[in-house]
Amino acid sequence: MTVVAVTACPTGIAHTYMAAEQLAKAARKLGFHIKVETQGAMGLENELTAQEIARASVAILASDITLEKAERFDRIRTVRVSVPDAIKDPEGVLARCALDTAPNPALPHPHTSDEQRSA
Amino acid sequence: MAVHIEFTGTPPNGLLDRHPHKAMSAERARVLDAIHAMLRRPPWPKDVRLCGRRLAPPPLSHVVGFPRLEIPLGGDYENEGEFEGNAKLVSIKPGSALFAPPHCWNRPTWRRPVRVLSVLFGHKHLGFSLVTSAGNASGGMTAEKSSIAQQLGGAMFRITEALGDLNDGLSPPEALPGLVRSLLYLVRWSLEHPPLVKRRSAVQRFELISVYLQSHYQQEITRDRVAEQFGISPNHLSRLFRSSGHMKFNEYLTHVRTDRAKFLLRNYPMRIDEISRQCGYNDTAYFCRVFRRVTKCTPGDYRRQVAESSARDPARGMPPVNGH
Repeated sequence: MTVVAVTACPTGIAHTYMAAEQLAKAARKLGFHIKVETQGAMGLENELTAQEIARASVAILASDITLEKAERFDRIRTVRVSVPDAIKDPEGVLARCALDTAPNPALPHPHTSDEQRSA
Repeated sequence: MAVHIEFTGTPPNGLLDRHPHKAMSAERARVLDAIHAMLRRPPWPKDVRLCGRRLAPPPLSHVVGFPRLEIPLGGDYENEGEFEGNAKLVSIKPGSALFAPPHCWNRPTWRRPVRVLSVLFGHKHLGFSLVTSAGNASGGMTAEKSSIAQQLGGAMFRITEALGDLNDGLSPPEALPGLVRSLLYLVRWSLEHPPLVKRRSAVQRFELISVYLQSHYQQEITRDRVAEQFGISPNHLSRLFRSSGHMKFNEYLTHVRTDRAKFLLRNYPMRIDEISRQCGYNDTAYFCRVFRRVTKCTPGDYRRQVAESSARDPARGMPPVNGH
């Protein structure tokens, strides 16, 4: 399973980077393919491209603040968690990616016709 | 025409030094002001709290793989941390500093009003976070972040390593403040000269991409794919080649491929379509057209010319070692 993630904490000093490391470590353990962008005091690092986001099954948004360039995730299923959650239970967060099949409400459901959606 | 100062071959000498604040963001200017204020104090810092990594950190302590310097500017920066081998609660006031080598821990309590500047010494960037906390848990905290490109290595990183080495429990604490002051002088210098630092990193990136093309020319290479590989935009990649190199991205790739083709033509009796494939061209006719445009002769003519000249002068016909 291919996953992209963004981490961002209020001060950008440490938790942003710790969450990124924990998610990457847990992904290796569980056999997920992951790329994690950090939005900390060092700016946007390991920035996700549109292609990478399009190719991923889900985006983890681990953030306690407003994300930069959040519109990139308008068209992909997202799992939103707090930064401390990603640090303390990264495997749980990844497990949610695999289980949580609820579609993004912003996206038209592929099996729903226009009439059904407008109803 | 737009001028990209960060990538020009020769910076307008002196101009950058005379107007260091010209293109500086408000965030960066405030960081610089804070650093100036600290360095104006003659014996700053009067002491340095050095974090350790022997004890297990409490949950959500700050532990990262790069060094950090924290400078209280006002109020009381209360921290739990491992200091001199013990877990302690300390209050760090303006005039003092906290330094955390990689993988060492501290945990700000944010229980008291404080304004603190954190400097992050990352592999690619120097990061700054100016945090103001009202001292209550109910979200009374603002942080202003900014960063500049910075290459790993150099005096700045050796000082952070030296500070880590002094964390052995045997070194005199008096050795710390001078190093931290020097470190802050270097940080200030980097803030005041970011275009020069950035230019250097652009040149290094250009060199990395050139080496990448030289070893991947056999594969299908596109500008978009190479840009993605290096985490930059396709337009940025083109700009990098226009300003750092002597030719455009596509011209450079063609140069690498036809150079390799010449080497194969000179030294191996391979068929033209095999050589074409070996050099990353799936379409032999297209390869021949490109080759002809670049070398002003067809691959077959090139091979014959080399063979004839080596027959006349055997020494010149020896296969060159590097393929040129």
